[in-house]
Amino acid sequence: MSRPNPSGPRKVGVLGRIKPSYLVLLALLPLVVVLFVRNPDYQAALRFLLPGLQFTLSVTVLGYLLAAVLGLALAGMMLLSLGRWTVRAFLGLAALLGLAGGGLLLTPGDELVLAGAPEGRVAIVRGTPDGLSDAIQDGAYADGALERRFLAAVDEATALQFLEEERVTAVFLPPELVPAGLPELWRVTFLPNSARNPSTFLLAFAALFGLLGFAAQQSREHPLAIFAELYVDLIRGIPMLVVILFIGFVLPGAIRDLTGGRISIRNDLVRGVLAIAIGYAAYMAEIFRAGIEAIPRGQIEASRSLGLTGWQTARFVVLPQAIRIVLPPLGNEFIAMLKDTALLSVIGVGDVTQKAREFGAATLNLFPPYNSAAVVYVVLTLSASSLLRFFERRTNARR
Amino acid sequence: MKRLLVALVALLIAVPAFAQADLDGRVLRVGSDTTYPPFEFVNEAGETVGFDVDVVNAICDVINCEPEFVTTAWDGIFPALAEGEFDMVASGVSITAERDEIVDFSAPYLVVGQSITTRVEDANLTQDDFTGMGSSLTLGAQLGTTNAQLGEELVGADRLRLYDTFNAAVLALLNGDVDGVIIDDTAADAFVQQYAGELVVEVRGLTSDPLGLVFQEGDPIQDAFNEGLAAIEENGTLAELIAKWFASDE
Repeated sequence: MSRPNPSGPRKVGVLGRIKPSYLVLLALLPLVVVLFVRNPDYQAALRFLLPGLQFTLSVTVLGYLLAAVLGLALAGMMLLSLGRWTVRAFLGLAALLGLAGGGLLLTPGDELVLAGAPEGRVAIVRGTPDGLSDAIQDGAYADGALERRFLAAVDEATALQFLEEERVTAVFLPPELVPAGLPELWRVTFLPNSARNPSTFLLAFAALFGLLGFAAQQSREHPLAIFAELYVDLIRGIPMLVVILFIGFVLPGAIRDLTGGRISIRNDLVRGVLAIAIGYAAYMAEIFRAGIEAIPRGQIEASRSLGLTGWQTARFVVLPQAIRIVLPPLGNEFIAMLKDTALLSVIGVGDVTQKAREFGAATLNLFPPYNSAAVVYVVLTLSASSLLRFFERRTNARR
Repeated sequence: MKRLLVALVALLIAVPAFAQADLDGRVLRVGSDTTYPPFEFVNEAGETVGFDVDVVNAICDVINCEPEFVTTAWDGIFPALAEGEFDMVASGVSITAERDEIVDFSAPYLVVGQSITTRVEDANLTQDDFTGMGSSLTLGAQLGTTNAQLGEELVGADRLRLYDTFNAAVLALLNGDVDGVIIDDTAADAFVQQYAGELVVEVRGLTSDPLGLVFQEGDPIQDAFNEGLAAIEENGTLAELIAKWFASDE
């Protein structure tokens, strides 16, 4: 706060102690208040936004905590050193997963038959692989076949019922269920979803463990340390919006396919927290690592030679200094995260930004909702940064 | 003889054009949210295609203009048009009084009904299941559409989730985040075909919405477009395009 002044110490008034840019904001405050008090559109917009505030705040706080835990775990992984059996354990695990995944590929294939009239609608049962239904839709299964439209059926019996009711002219069913006498148009053998999805999952993990084990063997670093580095590099290279779209739309579908619909992430808060935490864990890990590495090795050696235990070294030597180093960047992450929660609006959660967009779309008047949202975010971030500065001053004062 | 025939055909095509407004080959920027099959979507070759594209092209053939389709987000499409970012908007737009306050509409060129799309295992759900007392079923829709408005009327804001595009809403339906998507029946049929075997449209005809082309307020090109629209209605082009893009299922 105090800058060196060549003309010697100068008496500073109350206003002089406030950051100049805050002074401008303070002067503007009455104008903003007048705007909200005088203009009914702004009042309506603000009232509409405020319910979103609870979501924005809870997703930020919970996401921050989870990101901190994940970040600490990643930073811890980076500190691991290679044990005697580590590489062998990883390679063994990879082989096991690979065998299990490969074994599933040998599952006997299922057969499906397209039977019925060559034109008209086709009844298609839920869960039929996309590749097969696309082939029928485009008429790609046989040269010169017509494009077909579909009617979805929840199970085989319903498909047959549709055929009876003449709502469809053809069915796509296992051969034993096709009514006798219905002309066969196409027959295909394929790996059923119940084998293909877990197999893909197992093989992907086998490849990951195998590659990590191999890299560890080459570099003599711990495979989990390599994984943590990889995670940090990859996630920091992906825009937050893409991470959110992935967690919001792709991951729930993948989990549903993999578990046959037994597990589904439906809760907005859970998905928001997951997306934010997965994205920010990478940055948090880097901050924690930098904090720990900033303590000179000599200090740790010195405290050990003075007879301190490992825990005492961490508690009295490393952590007090590391906390002071990581606190400012950790605070900055909190503010960045608070602002990035606005991106969650693309997956339809009811945060402040989504509420502003809904208000704008309904009234076709964009200034009041977006100005209100900006004011809400500025109030939140400025309060957060003031709070952080207070904490920083306290930790520095104890020096 | 052959040359005479060609001349005669050319005359036949040209005659109605003479009677129409003429925009002198003006290039028009047409704003469109190209995530809404079959009205407008980007095909695998990367071209913007769909019913609206064909309609605007057909009208432009008559009134002599050149449409240039510009992909834009639906969110804010009307304020953007009002501020002059586009010359017009063709994006499956329902004609509503609120929108009419800041932009102008052509005569309706299609009437669509709203419907509720559900997962195939929920095919037995009725409108009452969504709107009845104590129902906890949720609806999804695209932000800022008449579908979203109707959804809010039916189930209230708490059980309505809004997405950037209808495609996102349909993905949310497949993922189980919502129990139905409230959407125009024409677009619903297209999504049902796209996600084969997963979706059904059992609740139909909730309302009927006339669709119009959208212009800046007081822009004279809307008169030319209304004339062009009347012409393609009269010569059967519009009916052909409707038959081409909307193969009705029920």
